[in-house]
Amino acid sequence: MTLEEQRQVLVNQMLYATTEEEVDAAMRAAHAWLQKHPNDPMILSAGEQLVMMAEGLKLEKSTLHQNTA
Amino acid sequence: MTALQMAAQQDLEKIRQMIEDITGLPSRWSGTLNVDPVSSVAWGVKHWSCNISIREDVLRRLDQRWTTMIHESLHAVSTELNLDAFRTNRGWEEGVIEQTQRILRSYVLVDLNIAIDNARLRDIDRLSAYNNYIRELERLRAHLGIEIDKFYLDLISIPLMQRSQHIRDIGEARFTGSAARAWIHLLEDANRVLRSPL
Repeated sequence: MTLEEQRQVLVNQMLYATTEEEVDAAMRAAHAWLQKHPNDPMILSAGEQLVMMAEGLKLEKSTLHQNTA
Repeated sequence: MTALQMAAQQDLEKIRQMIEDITGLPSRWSGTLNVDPVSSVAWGVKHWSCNISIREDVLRRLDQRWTTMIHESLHAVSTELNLDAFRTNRGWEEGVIEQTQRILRSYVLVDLNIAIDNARLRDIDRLSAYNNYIRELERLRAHLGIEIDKFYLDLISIPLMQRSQHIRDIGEARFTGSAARAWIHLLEDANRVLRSPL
């Protein structure tokens, strides 16, 4: 795979991560990519959506815990 | 609070006012701007708490500082942006917000007396991860023949969960027979990109 293709795979992983496991995996992959390619604009723009999903899932989990405690 | 954060917070406040005036929608921004370290994976984020975070290096760059602030401020007025809607309609949020940012920024920057090279702004646009979303939204808009400002400002005021159905209804009211079937096919095609599988 070319670098461009690898980037697109990672962007899709970040944009379509839905479960906690998928979000965690995408977050780790994004951090690893940025170690090698700091300031990659495509990854850093996709990062917004990934952070929103990660935070949303955490909030959802904590609300669920509160409601079931 | 650092000078960088204070200046950015003041600018964000001006943008909030302008976005509210242009869209006619109330902002939910909490008034708090966090400055993220460069280790963050995102240029900027409008959090579910309604705080906004922007990376420090972005705030130091004249071009990206403004586009990011406008983008995040638009999330704060986006109607009924909640996790359930966002989870399955991410392109209907991010694509709409990013394209609205590109449409509105010239008005905002002129009003704030900020000059940024258009070629530089187009470079930022070209490298956005949301371009696939925008491409699909533009295909739908072109098919419906709706003016660009109206299409996106209308969508941002529609609850996120209902945006796809809203656009579908416009097409269904406009097309009949084979044209209606072609419209539904086009929308379903676009939704494969704009919506996420459950």
